[in-house]
Amino acid sequence: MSKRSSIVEKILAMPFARAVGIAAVYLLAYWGLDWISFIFPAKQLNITPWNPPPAATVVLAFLCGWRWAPMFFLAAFTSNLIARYAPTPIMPTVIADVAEAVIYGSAAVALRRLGLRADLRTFRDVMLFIGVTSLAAALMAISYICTFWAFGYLEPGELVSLIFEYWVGDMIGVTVVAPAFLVHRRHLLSWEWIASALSWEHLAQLGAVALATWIMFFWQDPVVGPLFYPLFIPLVWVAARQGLPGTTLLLLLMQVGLMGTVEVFGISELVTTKLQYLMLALSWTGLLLGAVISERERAREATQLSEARLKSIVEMAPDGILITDDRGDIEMANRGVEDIFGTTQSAIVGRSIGGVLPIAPGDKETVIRRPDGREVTVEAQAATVPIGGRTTSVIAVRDVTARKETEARVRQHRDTVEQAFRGRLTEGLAGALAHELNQPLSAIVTYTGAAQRILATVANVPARALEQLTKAAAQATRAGDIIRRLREFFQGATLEQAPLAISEPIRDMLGLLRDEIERSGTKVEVHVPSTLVASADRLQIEQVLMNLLRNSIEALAETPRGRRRIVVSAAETPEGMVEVKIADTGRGIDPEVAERLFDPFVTTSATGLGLGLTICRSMIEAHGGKLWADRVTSEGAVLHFTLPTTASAATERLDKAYG
Amino acid sequence: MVDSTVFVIDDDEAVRDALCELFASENIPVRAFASAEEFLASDAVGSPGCLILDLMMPGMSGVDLQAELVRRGSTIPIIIMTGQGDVPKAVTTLKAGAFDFIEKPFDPTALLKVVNQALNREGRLRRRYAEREAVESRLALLSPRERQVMDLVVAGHSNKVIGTKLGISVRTVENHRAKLMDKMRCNNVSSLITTILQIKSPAA
Repeated sequence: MSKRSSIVEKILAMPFARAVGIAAVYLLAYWGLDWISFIFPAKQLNITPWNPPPAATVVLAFLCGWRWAPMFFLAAFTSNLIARYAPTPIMPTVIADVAEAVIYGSAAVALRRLGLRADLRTFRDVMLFIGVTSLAAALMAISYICTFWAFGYLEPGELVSLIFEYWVGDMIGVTVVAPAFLVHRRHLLSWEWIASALSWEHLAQLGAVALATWIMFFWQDPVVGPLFYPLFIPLVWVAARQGLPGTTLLLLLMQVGLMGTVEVFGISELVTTKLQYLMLALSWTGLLLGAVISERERAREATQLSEARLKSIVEMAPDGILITDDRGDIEMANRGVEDIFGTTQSAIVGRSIGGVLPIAPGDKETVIRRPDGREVTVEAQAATVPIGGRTTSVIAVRDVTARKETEARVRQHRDTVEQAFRGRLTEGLAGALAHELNQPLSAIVTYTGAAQRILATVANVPARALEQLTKAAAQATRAGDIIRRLREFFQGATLEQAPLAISEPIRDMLGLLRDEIERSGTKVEVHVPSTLVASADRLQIEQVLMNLLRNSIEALAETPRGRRRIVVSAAETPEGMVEVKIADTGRGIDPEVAERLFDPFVTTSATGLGLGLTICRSMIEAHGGKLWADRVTSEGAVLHFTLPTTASAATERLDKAYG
Repeated sequence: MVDSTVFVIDDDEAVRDALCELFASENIPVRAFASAEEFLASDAVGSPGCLILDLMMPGMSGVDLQAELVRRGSTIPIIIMTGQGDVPKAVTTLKAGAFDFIEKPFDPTALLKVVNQALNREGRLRRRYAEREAVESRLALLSPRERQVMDLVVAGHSNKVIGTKLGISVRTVENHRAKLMDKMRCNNVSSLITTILQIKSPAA
């Protein structure tokens, strides 16, 4: 629907029943209000001590908008015929009714534009409401009086006082009726609303109002003056206790009560008019006071709610949270503290923080002994918060015992594997040295033997020369024996083969290397079925894996971070062996090195001895498996090793025993 | 024995050279190779002689070469040289049919002894193989009738019995017999029997 569509179109576009319902309620309210308030009409015109019908217009215009504008006029015009016993002249009445529809409609729409909340939530809302409606009432009073003056019904001399009287009448009508309806519109006359209204306090408040009214009218002759003030007492009481909702109802009740009293006891017009001036002041005071109280109350509730939320968050936090005052005494401890310290909250609150959590300055961790004797390692973090000139400390405590234990276990496991490998390294070094030295020794012995043989065929060779060749050969043989003994001395631990799910050492070693892997930003993929069982010495396989994985991580150093990847996979071969494959995206194996990859002292690392792979191969071969590298690609290195399965290992043992 | 050669396969040049000198001093023909691959690629495979093989070599290892030679049906005796500590592996090679193994550093005299044994055995085998081949080529020359007559002669039957069994005259038997003795290059029945037995006995 476009903005330019006519008002008629807009009304027609509304759901019909709803529109009819609203119209009916509005008209009845307008007529009813006009009827009960049409007393003491000045000059036989619609100038009465209080004039509430515009309140109905303001409410409807505020809630439903401009499209109801024709209705505002209709209500005002028909009301002349229905509610008033002396219809006013037609022309000025029509003009005045149009003015009323336009002025109050505009005022309500202006309030909407200015962001007034329908339930007058804040002090600003109330001020806005009073301000805008005052202005509208003033405009209305001027329009009305001037219209009738223009048509010759009023003398110029009485205009000002009539305008003022009209303004007060409209103002009091709008001020006591519209807020009451707006604030209570959602639950007006609902059962809960009526039930909540019935309380001893409300009755007492009503009694106070009745008493104050009685004092005002009947203590002495009806004199409006100082005796009006007792009415402020129940007003302040209600405003303080029930806020704006109670105040709006009270004001409406007072107004209706006053007017009822005026009618029933025939109070004079003069008194009634003066009474309305005071009533207007009372209304404004009440509304503003009620708004302030309601606003405060809501703010307090919001604070309480957020405090309760924060408290429950603190309470539910898995960490222990302690709050201390400026002397370092604990003011609050949450439930997490109970779990960590093994005691109750009340046993901790009030104690000094130093006694509960002994921690050296600058330290983050400390060990506390719980009442049950358990020692727990905790990590604490403190924040100092200055609140209201006091220094409050908030201390978060976390139980890191389990983490510490895990860390220690991991470190120990790693040490075991590395130490075992260092043992292997010595052994490997001895073996490699033996192999390397045996070659030249063999050559020496053989050369000597050949020389002896050649010389034996020659005549006149000095016997001493031959003898010294024999001695040289004997010394070389002795060197060989020394090497043999050295090697036997460093002979490593015996192999203890047992069923081993190959996924376990792989998982463990990746765990031990997690720091290196994470630091280098390497992505590790593992495709190892947990059902794959080899017959192997766990510690030795762990050493092999540790070596191969370390090599891979080192080889990845030159690969860009995003492409660093290691894939560990395992499968059973057709020959009934378990084959483990470690592939990386590193620099690959230099073809020159590839030939001698498993030879001792061959290395691309600046720090290594070049024995790692040699030893790994000898360990795997001792298991009856093989260790080899794929033929070189530029895409990184792929190393494989095989291990016997439990079944194949058993066959081999039988072979050894009987073969 | 003159054509039998010692083939030395070792990745260490000094060891190769020293071994060559040693065998040369004994007038034993020797050829050296730096790797198993080099040996396999040469014309040496299938030549008479024996192999001195280092167990620990880069690339194809001694064990692998042995397996490959077995696969190719070679019967050349293999003497394994091992470093210390490789004894279990050396035992494996013995199981797979190696002639012997020696530990480095070795006594040259002991090595020469082993090599001579290996060459002797190889020579013996080679001679027996050659003889058997000669007999078989002669047998191939016989006609079916001559073969029948020969089998009966070797079984110890007289010409008359043979004639009756085959349904031919004694005269014809005699003719066949003369021809087959000629073809088999035998002068008498006993030498014929010796010749035939040679191809029926086991190889070793």
